[in-house]
Amino acid sequence: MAKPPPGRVANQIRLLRFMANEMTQAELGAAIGLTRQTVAAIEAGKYSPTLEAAFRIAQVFGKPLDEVFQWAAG
Amino acid sequence: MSFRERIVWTAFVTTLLVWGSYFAVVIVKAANGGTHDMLLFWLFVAATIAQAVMMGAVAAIAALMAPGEASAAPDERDRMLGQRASGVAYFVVLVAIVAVIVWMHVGLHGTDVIFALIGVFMLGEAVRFGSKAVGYRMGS
Repeated sequence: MAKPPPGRVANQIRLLRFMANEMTQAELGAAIGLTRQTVAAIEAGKYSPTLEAAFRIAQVFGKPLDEVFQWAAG
Repeated sequence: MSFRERIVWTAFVTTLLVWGSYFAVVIVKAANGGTHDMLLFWLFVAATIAQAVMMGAVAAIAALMAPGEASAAPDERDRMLGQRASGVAYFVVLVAIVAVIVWMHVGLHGTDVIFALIGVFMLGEAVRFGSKAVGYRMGS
């Protein structure tokens, strides 16, 4: 099997939280059933959420998925 | 440090302390006349109770410090860290079991085999807790 090209999942959660009345990580987590620590890990790019959690996060901000998460190649 | 991370670090440290001490006695006994000794049974009971008491105390204090986190169900990252830690521990247990099987054919016998298998189980638990704790510390 060929090695997949390098890259990582980037996100705009911090910016979107700021624009959503400075929503806290704990508030976002509570809205989608994740802990504050998990939201912090997602935001820092240390943990890639499941597709379901990603959709839920996008839904909270009222944005399409690709405005919240992007694939950063390289 | 989150409630769950605190609990898993406590489980890791108490497993090392309690069962490390227990197996230090077992090894000394094995080297000096054998492990067929009721003292080891009572030590096993004492070690089990000691770890349960330590874990219970830390869990109670941690729950008082963060009641919301303590009552929350594990989320997807908690479950992922648990599954990954179990995978690492399974591999370690597998290797250790093979080592015990080989050891049985070159000198390990009697009750020592049972103690070796208990040791493998505790090693697996320590690796599972340790892997999960490191996962929490690293963020993923």
